[in-house]
Amino acid sequence: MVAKRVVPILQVRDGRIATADGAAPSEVARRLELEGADEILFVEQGAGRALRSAWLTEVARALFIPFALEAPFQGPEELAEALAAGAGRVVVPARDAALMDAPRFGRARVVAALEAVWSAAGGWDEILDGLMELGQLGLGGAVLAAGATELDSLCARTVRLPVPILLRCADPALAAEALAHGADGIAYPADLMTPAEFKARLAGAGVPLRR
Amino acid sequence: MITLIQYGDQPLNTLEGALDHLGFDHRRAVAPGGAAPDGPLILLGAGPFEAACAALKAGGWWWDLPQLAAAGRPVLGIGLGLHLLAEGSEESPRGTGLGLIPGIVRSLGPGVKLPHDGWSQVRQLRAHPRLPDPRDAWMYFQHSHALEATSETLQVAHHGRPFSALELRGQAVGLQAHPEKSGSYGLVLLAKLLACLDEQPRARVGVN
Repeated sequence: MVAKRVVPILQVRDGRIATADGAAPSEVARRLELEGADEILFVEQGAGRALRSAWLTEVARALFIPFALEAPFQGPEELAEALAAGAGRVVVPARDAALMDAPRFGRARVVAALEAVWSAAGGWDEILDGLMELGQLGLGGAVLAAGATELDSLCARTVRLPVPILLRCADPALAAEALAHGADGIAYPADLMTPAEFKARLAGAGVPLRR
Repeated sequence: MITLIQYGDQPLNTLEGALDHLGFDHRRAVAPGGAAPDGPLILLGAGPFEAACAALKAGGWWWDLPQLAAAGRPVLGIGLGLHLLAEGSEESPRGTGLGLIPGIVRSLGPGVKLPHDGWSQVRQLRAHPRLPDPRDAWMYFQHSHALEATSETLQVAHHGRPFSALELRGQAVGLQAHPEKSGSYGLVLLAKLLACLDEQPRARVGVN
């Protein structure tokens, strides 16, 4: 049994946390680890390649849980740099996925960021087809952004998602429903609440959580 | 002193951070000639099996590692490193492993999402006098293939089927989960495994 993951998102700009007085990513991430995070998702803003390896290395040496980096990667060599610096996983825009040579890095280490757009005609089948295509490209999952309509639709029935899905969701009540219906983890803005508090709000969902 | 085998673009930073936190001395070596004169050799791995085999061959490890192990040198394989220590992997049907741990690595599934990427619980299959009973401790896994458990396997986890989480065969140890990414329990287990391989930290360090 795999625990449903609770993953705080940290925005990084110029090698520092964008939303916490410019703190070092390693310090904030380590605090979140001790507060119960299962993983950290760093989202890099702006052009950060020059500074990236340095702060990723610092995080890798300080953190004892996995972390992922979502960034405007320009190609496979940038992915290689980020993974070699210690990111356990890189998140690339779904539209660029075919250009990233994902099989070179192994199935689990490259995932796609995409937005689920639900249409009455296509429903979840259309979204699932998109996820299947990612699997065929050698990607190991997706970070899915979904609006209220999509989440309502997801929660209305159990969806057989083909690859591990981390769902961006800031609402613990909706998150609990989505986890119970097929999502594998929740990514939420780190400044919203601590991971332990988020997990406490999921307690009634009947899903496995790491304590 | 611990030697971290550096091959391909394997990320060693996280493991180095864990060893520093625990107080162990370590160095990286790109070729066998750069290894410390004694102490465990750690083979950490992530990514495709075949590319890792090629990188180990390029560095000369492929031929020297079995010889070092035969001479009594402890070897610890982590993640893909366990697969490389086994006899072979379905991930690369024509390829073979280093053969330090018996068994063939096979695909997980069917019927489960792959990769198995996240935290799963580990339980003890066979007790070992120097290792703690995990008692369903959560550890972090990131893989699509795994060694099948046998009666010699110490600890197992489950994803679609039971698979080996920890093997200890003489001086060869294989760990499917990543202890360096498994929080405080992972650090405790890493320190205990290294103690089993007669490696001690510089000073006793608290784990949190």
